[in-house]
Amino acid sequence: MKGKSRTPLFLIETVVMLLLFSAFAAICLRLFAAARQTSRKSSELSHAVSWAQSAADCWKSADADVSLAAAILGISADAESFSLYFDKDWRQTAGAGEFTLILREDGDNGAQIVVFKADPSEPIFTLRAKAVANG
Amino acid sequence: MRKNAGLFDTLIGLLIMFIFTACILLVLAGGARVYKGISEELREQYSSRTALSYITAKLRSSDFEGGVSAGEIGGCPALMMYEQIESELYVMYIYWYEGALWELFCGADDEFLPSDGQEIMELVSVSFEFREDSSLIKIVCTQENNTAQQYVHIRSGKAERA
Repeated sequence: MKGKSRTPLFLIETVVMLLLFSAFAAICLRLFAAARQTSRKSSELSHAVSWAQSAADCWKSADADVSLAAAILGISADAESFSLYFDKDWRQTAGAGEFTLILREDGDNGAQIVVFKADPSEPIFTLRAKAVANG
Repeated sequence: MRKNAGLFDTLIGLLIMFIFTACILLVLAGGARVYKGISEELREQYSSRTALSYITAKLRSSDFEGGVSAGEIGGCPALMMYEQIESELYVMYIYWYEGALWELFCGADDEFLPSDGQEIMELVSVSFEFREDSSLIKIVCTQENNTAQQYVHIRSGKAERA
């Protein structure tokens, strides 16, 4: 008994520590991923709000004329709407990109602005603008 | 044989310890990387987006007849916001000078240097473009890899004082 090795006990201790550590590491990694996701979403929301406000201001400055507003932004428009496309760093692109902003007139001097990533039904930000006649 | 078994156990123990240490380092490195990414993103957002919000708020508060103009002071891009206080005309200048956004409030006829103002925050570049055809100001703020821009509609149009 006296001469029995303590190595198996040490091994068991180490394995238990490793298992505990693995559990905590998994929790930590999940938290890191969640933090990164939250930060990314916050950044996307910030950019989406800014671009929605910009689009609304362009539309208002063009006296609620979609075509004129699109021309100011250097893009083309159809009868009632225009789309802006952005890459992952929110730089404006000519074709479809990572993010899309759509400004659509909804009657009564109003326009609905939707900014989304992939699915328009899951917008990052929506804004309703209303043009008020000057003077 | 027993000696060899003891050596094997010790090696296994050392190997597990090594894996344990490597895992700790990996988790620490992952955490540090995430923290660095988040703090960098926040810093870039803070500088460029805060500057944009600041300028936009100033512009909106001065959006009255003859209140806002854009141009240059001492070769620096600048926005001028006019205010009448007891029959005296004052101007709030917001401009980019030597890698920073500056602000100066003084009488419209006062002479000054760009360095006389108060530094708001460091920015790589700022530009203001007043589109007179549509009363729209385009503000572009650049901070390292991050460029943020905003269009602001000035309902009252450009002031003709400058």
